[in-house]
Amino acid sequence: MTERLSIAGAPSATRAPIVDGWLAAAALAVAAAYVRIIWFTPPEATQGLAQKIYYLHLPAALNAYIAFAVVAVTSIVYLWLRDPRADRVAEASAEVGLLFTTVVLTTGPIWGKPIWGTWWTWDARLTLTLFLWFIYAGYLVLRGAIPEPEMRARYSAVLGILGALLIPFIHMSVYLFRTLHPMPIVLKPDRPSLPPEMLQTLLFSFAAFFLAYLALVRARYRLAVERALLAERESHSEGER
Amino acid sequence: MADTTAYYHAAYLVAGALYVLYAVSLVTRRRKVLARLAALDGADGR
Amino acid sequence: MAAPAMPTAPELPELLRAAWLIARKDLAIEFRTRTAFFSAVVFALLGLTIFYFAWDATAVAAIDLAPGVLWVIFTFSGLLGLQRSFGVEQADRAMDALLAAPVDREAIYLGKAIANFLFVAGVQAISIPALALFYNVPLAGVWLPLAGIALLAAIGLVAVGTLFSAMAVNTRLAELLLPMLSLPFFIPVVTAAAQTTARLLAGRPAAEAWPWLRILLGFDLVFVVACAIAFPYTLDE
Repeated sequence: MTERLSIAGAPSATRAPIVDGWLAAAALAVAAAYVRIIWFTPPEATQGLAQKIYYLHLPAALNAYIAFAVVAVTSIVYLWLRDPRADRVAEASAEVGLLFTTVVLTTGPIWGKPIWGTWWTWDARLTLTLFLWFIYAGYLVLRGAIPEPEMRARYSAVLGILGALLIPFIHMSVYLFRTLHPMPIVLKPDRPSLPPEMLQTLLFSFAAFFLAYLALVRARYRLAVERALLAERESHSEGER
Repeated sequence: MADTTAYYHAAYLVAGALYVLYAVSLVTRRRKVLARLAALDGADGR
Repeated sequence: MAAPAMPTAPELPELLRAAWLIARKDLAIEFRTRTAFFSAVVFALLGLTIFYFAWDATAVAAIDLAPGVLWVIFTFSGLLGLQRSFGVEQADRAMDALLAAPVDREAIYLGKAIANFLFVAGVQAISIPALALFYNVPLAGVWLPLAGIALLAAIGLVAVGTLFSAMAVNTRLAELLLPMLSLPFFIPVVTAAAQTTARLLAGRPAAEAWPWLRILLGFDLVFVVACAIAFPYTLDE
């Protein structure tokens, strides 16, 4: 059998450098953001330096939500078109999404302790992010438990869509729970209008981390393609023996 | 507010570590796969 | 692999009749051995006991504990029942025979879900009186609305659990995956049920419980439909 199964996106995969332009640019942007935040942005008057954690926490949260939306959409696309590329984007976005969600869940408490006096609070955003983490984790464990690519893609897509359906219910439950169980009064540090310098840093931060999201998804997508290529070649060469 | 400096450092370190670790994991995994692909190419005498 | 043709909306009576046949088959199998049901009941009773001793009874009155305990137990004993739902088809590749039959795929889902629902409801029918006994919960006057909440919660649990059971059974980590995937989905159900139960037992006006009930009803509606639609995608054909 000489016919080569073509894997979408494969031709350039093996020639692509491991650290490509996107990743390099993203690394640079994130480093620049760090520098800007640490040395070129004044600390907020009332909360001291810990407030700066915000510049890390918020962009990570945004990326986590975007990544999740991408998983949901590509899941629908996969079930509709059965294109493996959609599945690979979902896989990539899920893993990168888990990363950003973890960052939110670690920086959140580290920020919370000095600002709110408590490591954890079941506030709406943190709780929702925790759920996102659970869904991502379940998604990735599911993928890990199915060796066959087509079934894995199909099952993951189902979970991706159902997970997205779950989010509004979590939101409603948390919201209702909180309005009926008053939480300790919290200075809402993320509400005050930011002076322009801080706003600029925040926007810069958003841009840098979003670039990082794109670059990481791109790289992870490549890994998925390379793995598929490897699996196909390995079964091919086994067939020839 | 001297206390909060420690938290600020911790957060940036932890987040930075997570990002770096992930990037390293990605690169390592891709290296492994590409190495195996190259080995297969060699074995097939291409 | 071509996408399966969108199933034409099956005739409802036909669908329900087929679903009931499948449910009856499952229930007959379960009834013959009864081990899963018995295990789930014992597990629930043990859970009630453990929770009681794990709490400081002087700090919190047992009756205040009751709603939370009931719905946590419900979750885990429900999972026990769900585990065997598709596991029973693994032997002798019975699933293939089931799929070969001229029956709508949604009917298979509904049938399994109905069987699971009756299983869970059965466990609840024993757990709730046991809870009342162990935790000094006066059921007079509230047992009917409580039964209603229990059934609504069971629908939500079973809708999602049946689908994930179908998926998990085909994977390498079936026993781990089912709880891992299902529990995030159970949380709105359990929260709404527990909150409603707490208000019911405290004699609060019904209007207070209504927002939670609405979430529960909405969840049931959305997920029964969504999971029934998703089920055919989990089949290899």
